[in-house]
Amino acid sequence: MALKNQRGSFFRTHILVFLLPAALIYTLFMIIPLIDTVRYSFYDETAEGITSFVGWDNYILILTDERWWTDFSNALENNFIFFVIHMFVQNPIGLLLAALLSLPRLKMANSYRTLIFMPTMLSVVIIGFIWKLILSPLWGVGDTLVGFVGMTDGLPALLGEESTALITLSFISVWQFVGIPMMLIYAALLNVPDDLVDAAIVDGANQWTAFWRIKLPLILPTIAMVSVLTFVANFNAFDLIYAVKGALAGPNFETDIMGTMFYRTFFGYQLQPGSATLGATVASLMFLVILCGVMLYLFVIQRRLQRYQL
Amino acid sequence: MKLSKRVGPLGVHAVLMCYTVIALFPIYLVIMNSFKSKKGIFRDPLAFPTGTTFDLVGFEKVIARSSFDVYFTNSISVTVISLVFVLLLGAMAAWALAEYDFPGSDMMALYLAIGIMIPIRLGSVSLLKMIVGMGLVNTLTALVLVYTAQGLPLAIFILREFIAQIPNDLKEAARCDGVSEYRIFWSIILPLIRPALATVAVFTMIPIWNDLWFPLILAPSQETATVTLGIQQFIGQYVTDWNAVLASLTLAIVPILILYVIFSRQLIRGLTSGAVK
Amino acid sequence: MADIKLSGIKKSYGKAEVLHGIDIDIKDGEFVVFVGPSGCGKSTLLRLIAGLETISDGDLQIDGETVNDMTPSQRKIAMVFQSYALYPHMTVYKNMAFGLTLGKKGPLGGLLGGGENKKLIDEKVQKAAKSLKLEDYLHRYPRELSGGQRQRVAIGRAIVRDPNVFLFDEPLSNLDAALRVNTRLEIAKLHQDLEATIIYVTHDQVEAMTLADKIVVVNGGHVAQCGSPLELYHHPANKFVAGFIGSPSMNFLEGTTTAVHAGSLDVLLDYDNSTASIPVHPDETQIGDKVTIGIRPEHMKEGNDQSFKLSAKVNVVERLGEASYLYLENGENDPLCVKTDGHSITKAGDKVELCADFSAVHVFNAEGNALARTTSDQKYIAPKLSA
Repeated sequence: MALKNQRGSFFRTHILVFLLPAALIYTLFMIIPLIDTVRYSFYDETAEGITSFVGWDNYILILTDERWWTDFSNALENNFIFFVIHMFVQNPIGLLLAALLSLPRLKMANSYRTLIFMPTMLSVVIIGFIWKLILSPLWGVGDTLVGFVGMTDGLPALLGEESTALITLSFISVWQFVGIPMMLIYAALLNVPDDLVDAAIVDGANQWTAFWRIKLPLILPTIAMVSVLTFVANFNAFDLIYAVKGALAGPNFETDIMGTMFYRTFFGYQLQPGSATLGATVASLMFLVILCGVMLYLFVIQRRLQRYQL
Repeated sequence: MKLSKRVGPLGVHAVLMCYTVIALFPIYLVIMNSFKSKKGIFRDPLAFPTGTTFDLVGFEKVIARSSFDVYFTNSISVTVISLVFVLLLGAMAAWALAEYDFPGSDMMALYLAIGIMIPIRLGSVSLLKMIVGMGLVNTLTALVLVYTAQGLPLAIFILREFIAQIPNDLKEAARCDGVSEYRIFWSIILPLIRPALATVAVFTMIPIWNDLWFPLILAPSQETATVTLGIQQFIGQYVTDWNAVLASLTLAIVPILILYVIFSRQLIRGLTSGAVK
Repeated sequence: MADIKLSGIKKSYGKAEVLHGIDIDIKDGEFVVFVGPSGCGKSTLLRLIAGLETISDGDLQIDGETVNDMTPSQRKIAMVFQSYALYPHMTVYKNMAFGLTLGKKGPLGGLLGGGENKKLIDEKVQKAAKSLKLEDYLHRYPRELSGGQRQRVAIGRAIVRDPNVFLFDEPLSNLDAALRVNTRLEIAKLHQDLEATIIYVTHDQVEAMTLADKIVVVNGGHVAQCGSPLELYHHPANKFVAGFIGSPSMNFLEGTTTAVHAGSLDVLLDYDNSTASIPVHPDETQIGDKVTIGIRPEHMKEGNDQSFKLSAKVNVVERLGEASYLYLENGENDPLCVKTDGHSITKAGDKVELCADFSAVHVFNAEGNALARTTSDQKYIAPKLSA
């Protein structure tokens, strides 16, 4: 018995040595800040740095004060549009490209894959600036390009107009990140055994019906995962809007999303001073939105989708 | 039948080719125009630089007015150091979770997986306070710590699945020979999980290199700016100088593209290896 | 009715040619087995017939019609895959019905459509399920079935489509030994019931021997020999087929021609420096040519009362009860094997005298081709089975 104990403790030291450094850094710089941010959203802070507990006041302010609520609901709505465009443009295009790339014996599939994934590798900031230049009415590249497809009036200032700015930015982001759903779905499609498609072909299917009736049902879990990843990434987005439109997310807050609103609230802009506690409140609300999406995925969608052993 | 057999692949290639052009054209346009004079840029943006329009003035301005070398050094140090921490600490933790059955090991795994779905950015308010409290504002150390925490959850998740597939016999054989647990990890496990480490490295590296948020709030000074932040500030300042803007973008793009072309095979193998499901 | 004719079929991937001109005639209702070592091209050949790969050169005819450019369903074939390839997200019922639900592209063409078609599909599925004893499993998913059941579902999926030709790609290789024998019998019975043309690919020569009306031995992208199981066993056309068919394999002894007669050949054996005069047509064999002599283990026995004699030292004895196998010292080469009586008292280390009838001895020339035997001993010649 003594021997066994000794052996037990011997093993426990190892576990601790292996596990502790990662757990410590993760807890200290991720979990604690997340929890502390939520805690902080229940406090108020004066300019001198004195904090006091205020209960739900910050939330009440943001969700009921007319100016705050206008801002917040606008950002939430824009963010939702941002997400919907990704969900229904980026992911279907990714699916299409992945489906084409996974066709048997497609020549140059590797080159296509590598090249299409290229923009995904670059920083969002760089991508934002590239498109800002291309769409700039000053340069005129856009006018020349749309001229090729017969639009002689030139390209409208897509990023400058209130009606088009958000959609344009969403499409820029779609353009950059289409590689991610493409790769994840492509990997899932590669895992579908060739025999299944061959069997379907022998059964009288063509590549098209084999895709819809055999491959697609088998990769639904991957598509659900891609969707939730898109959701989390979109409600956490910031870099693109900030790079192209600045913290003010113009014109007239038309491109404001949760990330940029969080930044403005936290650091202040123009005449409004920054507030760490209100910033924490916005962050907590973002947390809540993301959590809802993740929970929906984990407890509703994922449970209904059967993962098939391939 | 014959017709559709031939049209099929042709149509597929047409779609893929078309999308490839869409994906690459903007990047190509920026790089090409960065080698032109201002007149060349505006008069015929689609033309290749010629004898009369070729001009390196943009690059000269960027090098004279900004410290791109510093940005690159900063980005490389932050990325590489964070990467080493994520891979080493992540592999250690993954090994502990995969190999040893101790009370609460499943809870621990779940706890460490939360960070895969919840972005660390949401904790920025408290994180900034903490970094200020530690006196680490405007240091690269702050970025390394945050990025390590950010990269660990996915790393542990992927590596744990991978380590669990290593046959038990290998470890048992080593234990019978009296090899210590540390040695088993270092000399048997680490070499075996190299392919998975490569995958994790890619997933960890790209978001760190490209991040704007944390450099912006934790280390915004000129001395600690990363490429992403540096370029954002530089372009903000010289927004009307097209030569400089295009040249700075090219300087930021080209090294990544070269690295990508060299490592794309490994990268894509990692992405599609099934290590992530 | 489905006669299949392969003429000059070639297949290349890029520059690598894997099939170098295959000619095979398959009669309606025949059970044909393609057999060969792994990588010989037999599975590729099957996939070409199925229409899953395009034929690089040559002509594939089913019922006199060239089908090179037809889809698998237009060729009216059905295939059972090695992995079974059951659709994991469909029940057994839906797996079997899948091909029939594909509408106009399905084998029934325009017949399908409207309520009647569902009834028709149901009839076919139920009938197939009944014949394969799958009625109780129709609403289960493939993952809930045993290996043998999955196998039967895969066969059922082929049957409901009522094809002209069934293709089987190593269907037994994922089953355990006991189930394999059972399923083999079931497939044999299926062939009798359906009277359909079956092409079956395997690397296992026992499966080939037991199932086939006609065996096609494929080696290195060529047809090494084509014929009935007993033809291949008794009259292998070359050394490859001789070694491949039969278990344990045929023994090979190297030798040199010392004299050529009209109906026989004198061979000096490297093994024990004895000379044997073997009754075969010498063809173009000349004095001094290297030849190989082949004798099956079961055609040799202990003793010296037959025409071909050999003495050797026994290295290992395997006693199986009904028979014992003696493994003989053979220098650096594979040991020779002799199947002997289960009551044999021979032990390892013994020196033994062995003999065989000349009519059971095969001779292969330097190119590996068999020389025709001149003996008329009926025992070692394939019997003519009435068709």
